[in-house]
Amino acid sequence: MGVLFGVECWLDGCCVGCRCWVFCWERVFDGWMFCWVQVLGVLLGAGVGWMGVLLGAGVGWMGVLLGAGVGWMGVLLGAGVGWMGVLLGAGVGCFVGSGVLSRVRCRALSRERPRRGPAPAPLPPSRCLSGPAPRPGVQPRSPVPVSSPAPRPGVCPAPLPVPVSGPAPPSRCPSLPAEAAVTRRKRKRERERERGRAGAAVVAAVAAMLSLDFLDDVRRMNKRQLYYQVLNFGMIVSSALMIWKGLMVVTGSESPIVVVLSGSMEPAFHRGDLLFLTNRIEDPIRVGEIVVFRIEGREIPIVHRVLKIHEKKGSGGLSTAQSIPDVGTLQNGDIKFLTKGDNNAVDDRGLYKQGQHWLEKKDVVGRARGFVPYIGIVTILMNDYPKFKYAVLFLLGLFVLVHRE
Amino acid sequence: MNTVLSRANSLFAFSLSVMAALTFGCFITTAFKERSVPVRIAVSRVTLKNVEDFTGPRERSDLGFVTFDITADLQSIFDWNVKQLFLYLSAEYSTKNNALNQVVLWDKIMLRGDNPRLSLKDMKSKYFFFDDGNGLKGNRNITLTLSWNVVPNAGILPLVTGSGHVSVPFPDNYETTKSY
Repeated sequence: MGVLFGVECWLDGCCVGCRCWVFCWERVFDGWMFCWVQVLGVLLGAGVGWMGVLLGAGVGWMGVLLGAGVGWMGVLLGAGVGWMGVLLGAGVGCFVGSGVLSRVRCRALSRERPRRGPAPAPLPPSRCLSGPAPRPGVQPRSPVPVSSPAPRPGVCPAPLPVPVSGPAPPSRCPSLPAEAAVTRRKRKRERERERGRAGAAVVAAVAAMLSLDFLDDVRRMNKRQLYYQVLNFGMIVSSALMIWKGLMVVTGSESPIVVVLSGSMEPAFHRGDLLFLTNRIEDPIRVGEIVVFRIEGREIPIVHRVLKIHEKKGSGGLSTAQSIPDVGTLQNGDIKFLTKGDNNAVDDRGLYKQGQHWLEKKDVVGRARGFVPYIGIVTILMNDYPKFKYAVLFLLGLFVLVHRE
Repeated sequence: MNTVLSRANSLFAFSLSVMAALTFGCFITTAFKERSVPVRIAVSRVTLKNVEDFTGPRERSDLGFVTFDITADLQSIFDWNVKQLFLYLSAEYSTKNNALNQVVLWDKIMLRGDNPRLSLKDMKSKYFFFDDGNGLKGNRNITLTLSWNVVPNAGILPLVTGSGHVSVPFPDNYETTKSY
């Protein structure tokens, strides 16, 4: 077997085209959309990776090294495999750098902590004037070494730093020494609950709403928790982007999920239905298929059915549906086709560009393979009424802020 | 669960998940079903003309007229997840210039609840059977098949071809009728 896995990229103007193969599956990617996606992917991956580094720095050197190492490994690996790998590697890196390592650091610190007796009661300042003189030779038991000599009666010594014996402040990890096992467990539960939060627009809205009463828990968050929230948000965004781009890769279409906008395919598809598209090179376009295509000069794609196809005799063309396509030449021979909407009386030649009689493979966004009804109504509503979109996002952020779960 | 808002929220989330599960169930129970039935197509008349293609590029192309009969029973295809069937009769042939040509001659939308037994006689084609050039003249082998696109309530949109097709040769001269 030849090369099992490989990537071959070339520069074409300012865009990068790549060809990658894994075992027998090969795909060629090129085109402007992959330029900015790759750049965005690298930036996002590097950004999320660095967020992990910073958070790791708050946790300790081990966190820094591991977080940076895994994060950057992700970036480098990703640059070889593509943006998907970048995001995955950096996302994993920052998760490792922040969540897991903070626990390691916690445990390490609690093991280092020296055995200490109960903290002495704080000295009231009046004792040195009225109380009995402490016997010489007896050092007050406190973690801070006392440099001044035993106080003489009548003279107040320099005030000693009073060890805190009250309840420990609600911080994540023992940067403060006094920590019992109980509080550690409580904090673990707290951490789990916070991780369950849907992060997102919270952080952005926090700054604007700090004055309100019900945001007590937000105000109680210290800097590390804030960083963690931002990191969580970053991970959610990057995983969503990853899933979308992954779908793009698998289906071969630049827009794998579309919403039907018009009623030209009724009664099969109504406005607001969701269509899943594929655009595989191995499947040539045949009559009766539902294609989503874009006419040159128009940006809104159209969903119609193929009425007629004429496939030229090409060097790598297919004469029957069973022949194996020649990789590297035009996969479809040279297919030109005509479409018509089910609900329209005439074919689409009136919609095409002036002088254009046929559509070609390059106009196709994808072939409809799956269908889910009604879900896309939300997208249509958000497009038609942008105020609705902002209202939904605002309410979502507000809701997440108010409720801890 | 102590505020109306949180109750509404859980209710909404639960109903959404139930609907999603139902939709997925609809899809998965009918995804691998066999949807092909036997079909009988007969052609009674074939005529050939050569005119300027007024539907598209203004070139003299072959225009065919086919009169056909279709008999099929599609009852077994309809189940709980089939919203409609889009039936289409397509002619497939190859010519000197083109390796493959496919033209839809006639189509029909059959909704759930309509009579699933097709028994059509002496149907004329709905769409003009123009060739891309003059490849219909003397073409020995033009295959007519009935296929359908199953449109589900939710799920895959398969294209199924009925088992049973007919091949007709086209006449060698224009404006000639060939009777079978």
